[in-house]
Amino acid sequence: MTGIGMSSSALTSAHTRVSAASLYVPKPVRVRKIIRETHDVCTFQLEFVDPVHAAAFTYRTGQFGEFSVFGVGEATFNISSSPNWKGYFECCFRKIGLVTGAMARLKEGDVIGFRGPYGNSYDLDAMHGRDLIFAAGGIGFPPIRCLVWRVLEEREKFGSVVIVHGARSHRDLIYQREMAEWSKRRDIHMIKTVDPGGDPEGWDGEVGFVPTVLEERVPWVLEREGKGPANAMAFTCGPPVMTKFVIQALTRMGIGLEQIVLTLENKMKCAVGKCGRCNIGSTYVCLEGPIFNAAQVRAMPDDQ
Amino acid sequence: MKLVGTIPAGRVWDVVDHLSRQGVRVVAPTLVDGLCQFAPVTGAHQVVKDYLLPQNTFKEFLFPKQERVFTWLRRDDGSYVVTEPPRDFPETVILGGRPCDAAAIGVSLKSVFSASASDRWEHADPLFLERFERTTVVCISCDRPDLSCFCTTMGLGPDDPTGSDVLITASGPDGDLVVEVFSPKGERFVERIRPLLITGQSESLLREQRLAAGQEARGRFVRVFDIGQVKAFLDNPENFDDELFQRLGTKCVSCGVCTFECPTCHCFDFKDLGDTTGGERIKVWDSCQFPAFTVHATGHQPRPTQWERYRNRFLCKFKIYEDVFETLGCTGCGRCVRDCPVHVDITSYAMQSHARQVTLLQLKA
Repeated sequence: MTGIGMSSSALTSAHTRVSAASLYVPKPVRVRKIIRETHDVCTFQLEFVDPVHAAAFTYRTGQFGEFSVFGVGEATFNISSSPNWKGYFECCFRKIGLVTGAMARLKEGDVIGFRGPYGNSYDLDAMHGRDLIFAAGGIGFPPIRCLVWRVLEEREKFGSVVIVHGARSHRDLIYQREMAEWSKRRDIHMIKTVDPGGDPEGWDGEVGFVPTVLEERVPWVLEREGKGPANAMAFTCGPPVMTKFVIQALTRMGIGLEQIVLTLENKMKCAVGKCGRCNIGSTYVCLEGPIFNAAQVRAMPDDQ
Repeated sequence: MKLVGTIPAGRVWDVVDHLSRQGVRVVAPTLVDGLCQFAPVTGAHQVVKDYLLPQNTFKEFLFPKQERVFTWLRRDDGSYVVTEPPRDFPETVILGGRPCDAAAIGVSLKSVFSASASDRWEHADPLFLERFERTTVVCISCDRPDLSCFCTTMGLGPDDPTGSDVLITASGPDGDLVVEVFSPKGERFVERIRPLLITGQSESLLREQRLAAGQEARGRFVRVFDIGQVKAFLDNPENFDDELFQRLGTKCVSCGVCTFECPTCHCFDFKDLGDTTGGERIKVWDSCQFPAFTVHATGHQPRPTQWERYRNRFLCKFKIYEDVFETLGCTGCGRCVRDCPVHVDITSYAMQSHARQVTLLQLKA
């Protein structure tokens, strides 16, 4: 099952030890800062209330956690910050259900619960020297944004970097501030796009769905600056219908399935392989994922 | 295994009074709401003595239908106190369990809630495991399977000791109960009931009579298929879309009875009781047969139709359990066959998968 982009030891060492006594019990974390990304998307910067918890906390790029609003419930989000950022970590969510609705009503200084980190992580070593494509839409972007930042921290180790960031409309584009920064950098190709009809007057980005824009814009970059499709790796996250078309577009560009890395977003409750909810066939996404390459995903049954 | 003696026919339920006097909680088949169910009892008179399988499994005494995981209390400064309840679980003897349930709960369900045997994950659920440590499973071998039973097909049997700490089998001309011990917990049980035991008989004769009793019961099963062929069929990804799943599963009404009565079903959800100022989170049984089980917050539904959800249940029992948890996912207790309101029959799935696999092999040859 091992392919590029997934640590070969993912099945044995990727899982953080969780002490038995607290398997399902969250630790209190304080909302340090709230960034209102759009009308329905928020980023939370979080810090552990207990300094002992803070000191013990480490995570790897791409891992996820369980976030609780006490009295409402628990929801699963990727940890969208870089593990190198000290003193806090981030999650980003769209207000769409009970828990995210309650989270959106919180204020800075409020306390929520956190369990984690869980799952495997991106294999940074396998990415060295390669051209990197990041393609995601809407709330699918945070789970690869942690990796973008991780790459930018050691920018010289990687080839070209292309980011395709899509949204339904310009109002739904998240991370506007950092995207603007990235747009100015000469070592990043930052492409933002909105769905047809979502572009206002004076819109300076692309119009079209992520897979289409990807196929129109990225081959040119790989040809001109990169070392061609065989050297590229692509990272994507989004609803199954989008990732399916992203994979098709990348395949037509000559990028192999094992060079395409997805982070899956299945419904979870326990995050530790007990509650029986996130499996695709015999693959428990919480234990073996959430990060898989497209060849692995294709080998899974159509139960996604 | 150690054969420790016999209990005279008709005296086995005296164990209940004996253990209760010693402060041990005893769970045995008893009448609850007019149904034979596993529930705590304190005297032999409460026990249903003529039973095959209680309607529920004794799973709920290790993995309760609902249990508190922690409580929270918000302080005035907005911080929270999160507290785990004490895990002071009572010493419990399951008396009159059946071998299908013992294997399902003592081996299969335990492997789900334990750290992985093959180092695939380290997460262990103390709520299950600490109860398990304090629970002794005393099974009574079945002498008369019904038409829904298929434990022998699953590689077990009416007198199979897998998962039992003690196995008691009615044997010989008088139907005396031969007591065999399989674990240190079983040893401790025997010490507690020693006054009820008759010892000193010829061990070889008892062993012979006990094997004969098991053999006789084994001859009475009718639902037969080859689980190796079923697994081979399910292992082939092409068969995921076989028409049999839709044909057999469309009538399923999504009531979830099969999952709640199943001794290996382990799915659960968390619910919050209370509000932000104070309350408790509980772990509650859930079912893969409910649409809400897998639906994403976005509305995306990996298993949009009911037959797909039943296909998941069938796959879980005959493939996923083995692939992921490295144990049997089904032990053939037959409850889901017996109690389905619309007669969705997991053994039909298995028999037709078996037949498909054999046909496919013949076509290839």
